[in-house]
Amino acid sequence: MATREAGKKMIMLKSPDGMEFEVEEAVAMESQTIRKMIEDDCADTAILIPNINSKILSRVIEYCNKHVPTTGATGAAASDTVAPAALAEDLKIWDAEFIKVNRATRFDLIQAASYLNIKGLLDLTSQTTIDTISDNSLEEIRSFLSTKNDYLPEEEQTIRRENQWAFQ
Amino acid sequence: MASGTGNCKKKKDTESSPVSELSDDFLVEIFSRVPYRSTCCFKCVSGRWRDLVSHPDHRKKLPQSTLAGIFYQIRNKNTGYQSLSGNWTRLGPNNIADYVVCNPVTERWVVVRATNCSSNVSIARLGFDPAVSSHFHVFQFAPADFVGANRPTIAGATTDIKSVGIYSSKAAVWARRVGWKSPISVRRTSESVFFRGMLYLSTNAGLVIGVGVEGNVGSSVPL
Repeated sequence: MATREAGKKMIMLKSPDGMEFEVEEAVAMESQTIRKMIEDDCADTAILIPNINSKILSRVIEYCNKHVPTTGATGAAASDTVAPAALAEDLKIWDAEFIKVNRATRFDLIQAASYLNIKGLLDLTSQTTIDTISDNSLEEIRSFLSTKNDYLPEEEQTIRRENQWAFQ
Repeated sequence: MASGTGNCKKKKDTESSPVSELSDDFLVEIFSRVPYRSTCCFKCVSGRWRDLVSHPDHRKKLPQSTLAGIFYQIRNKNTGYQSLSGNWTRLGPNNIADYVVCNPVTERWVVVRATNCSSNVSIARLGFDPAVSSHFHVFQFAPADFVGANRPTIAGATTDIKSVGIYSSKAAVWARRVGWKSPISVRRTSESVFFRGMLYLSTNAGLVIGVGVEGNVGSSVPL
């Protein structure tokens, strides 16, 4: 339901568990997926966000709220106004706190960032994941990312031999 | 693979919430942010990861080894070398050259011993596709399929090739030597590309011939 409040267009986001979140359009448009829906005019009523529960969706909105470019009333082409270094630093610290969540939540955030196509959040979650798995053994990577080792023992042996150099 | 085989049963992560597997998109996202070397490690995690890393659709996104490989030629054992990348011609008949294949990413090099036929070789090429395998092949094309013959047409801009010998780094041997009936005329400096396991060479007859790593001469495409 697009309503107006102090000149700002609002968008209603609905999670599959029935919660509704009213957010500024600019905040919602941090998500490229939602931006596309809005631009294609598919979004005059509430937008249902499938697969993302209210707990995660509220965190995602929290992230977008923090990261939406603070622009003047003109809005257009203001996205790359120079953010003061202090502000950037502040965001970085905020991000580091934001991502301090348990593994399950982190994974849900990853899926959400991926589905909603929120570049900043995708960057943050990917980088955190990479930091966690780099320098880990294959077993640790598999275990951390819940990835099944679907190689037959001899297959694994072969591929490991072929890529042995990369482990050194 | 639902039930764990012996190979899969590993210590469970303490936080055992059933985290669903990460989507392909996200994994590709991860792969695109790490160095090439790491993607090679990741290929060993599982078949699914390997397929994602190797998939042609993702190739543009993913890091590639910056140079596919370099050939060096050692002439008269060590009197100099010529660097080249995939496009190289032997210089003269008296150089019994070993090949040295270098990988700048790994900073490793391998000497591939010349064969009896090497002194007859008129064109040598490297077949290497790091996105598919870390193994490489060396193709040496010779005017006749046999040793010893006096070396015809070793000079000149073009040469008639009648056989190919192929070195496989996986087997670490010159695995194939295949001859064919009618010679194929190619320029020594003929451009070539190694793609999907085939080495493609342009010929003087206005064709592009593809030679597989098994020595099979596959498709020829008119230009």
